[in-house]
Amino acid sequence: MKLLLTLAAVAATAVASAQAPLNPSLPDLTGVWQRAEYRPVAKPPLLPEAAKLYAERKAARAKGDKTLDPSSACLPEGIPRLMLKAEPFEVLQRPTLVAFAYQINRLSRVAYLNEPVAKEDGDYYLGESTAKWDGDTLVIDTRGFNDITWLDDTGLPHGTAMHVTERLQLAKGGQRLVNHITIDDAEHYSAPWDLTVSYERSKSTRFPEDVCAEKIGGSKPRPKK
Amino acid sequence: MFKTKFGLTAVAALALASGAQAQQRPQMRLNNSDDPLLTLTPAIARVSADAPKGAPAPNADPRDLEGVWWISRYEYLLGPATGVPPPLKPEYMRILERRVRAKNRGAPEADASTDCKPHGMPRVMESPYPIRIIQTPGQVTLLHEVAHNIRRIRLDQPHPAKLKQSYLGDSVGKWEGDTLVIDTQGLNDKTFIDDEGSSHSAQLHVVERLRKIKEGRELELVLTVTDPVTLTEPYSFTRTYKWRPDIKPAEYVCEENNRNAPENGVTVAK
Repeated sequence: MKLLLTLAAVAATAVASAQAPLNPSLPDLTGVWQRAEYRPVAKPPLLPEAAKLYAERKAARAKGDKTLDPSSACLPEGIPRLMLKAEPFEVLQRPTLVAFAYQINRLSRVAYLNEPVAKEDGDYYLGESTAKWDGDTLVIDTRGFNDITWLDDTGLPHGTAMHVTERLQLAKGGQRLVNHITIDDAEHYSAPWDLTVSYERSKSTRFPEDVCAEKIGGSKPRPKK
Repeated sequence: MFKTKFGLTAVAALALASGAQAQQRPQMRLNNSDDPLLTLTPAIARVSADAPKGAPAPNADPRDLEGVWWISRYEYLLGPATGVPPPLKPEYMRILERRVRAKNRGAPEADASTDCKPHGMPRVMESPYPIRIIQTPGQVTLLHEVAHNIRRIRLDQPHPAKLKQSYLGDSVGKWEGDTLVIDTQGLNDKTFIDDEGSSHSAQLHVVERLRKIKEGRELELVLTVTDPVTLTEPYSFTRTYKWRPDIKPAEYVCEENNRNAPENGVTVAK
């Protein structure tokens, strides 16, 4: 729980809280989405130390060794990795927030609208997200990460200073959701770089209950970085 | 300002708090037993206070449940009254006694949540962590801080004809006046009813009646628990949750901090 001691800030965000109707001039991203198109970036601009770490992870994976992957111990996949997975997720859009409820291990995150961006020192798996509308595009700013998570399934590294910007836009008459993601992590990459993933609206709105701890037969020791 | 980044930090703090209470109050024992090994863990009398002065007033719409809610008090035994166990059949009361003794010997039996699996019903609603409620067309969603549990309540729909068992079951809801009535079935038998270890079967059926009271400053939840396998009769209990617009539920990663992971079915404190 984070107690917000600045009541002025609370008042400012809560005026439009609760069941106020959505602004009809904005797109409604509410629904269940499943990955449609995703092409991993061929050569992210890795700095030498980061390239070495990435090579170690890839080598372990090539040998079938998954123990370096934090998700092998059921730790949260983090951002942006959660947005790149094949499993569906639900978007719940409200006037003061946009929530993401993922099928994967029942993880969720909330992006708060019209609030100051999070501090860098959060040390969270999923970071802390704020959002704003830029025309018909929802722009989500996420920072305050730990450096435990992998950036994607292949093991691209990132640090605690990573800053992720997602630009979410509906397409194809609301049947597609496109996410342009920018990774800014000067400690690991020589320049900010982009990746794009799109999702299609799922016909099913039911989620099988996914319990990672059940799949690995209980909790496992935390992997090395 | 405090932050519960990792669940067990706060749980440890609460355990210390309840330990302090135990010294001040007469200890309750299961079924008023003389056996000190059947001592029940005292309730945490106050989890959430009212929202601080100056916090935004709750929405006046009685059917608008959105926002962050935080339970007023926390009990380890979820029976019809404080310190009273659920109406368990004798063989299941003996299992509860065994679990309370194991707890008091310092080696509690592991349940699903010990191992970072969902808490099950009704226990997930008895958590000392806040819950965010979100209402979208046809659905009420509960995002629990504790162990990142998610409950989806589909409105005005039947349960599926073939229900697959799960930890949190299948929940459907409908409005009766200004009360949201939630029916949950399809629960597996891997969880405990409560923190002390009362048993339920896969025939567990939970009905919740949820409504705003005190001008929306509290949510009242009346839970009715039915289980023809482990209980002699259905029973009900009531909980309240405070309106807390000043709080943002935090990231809770049981999987990282699970230092009490069970070994051979017994919890080992590390």
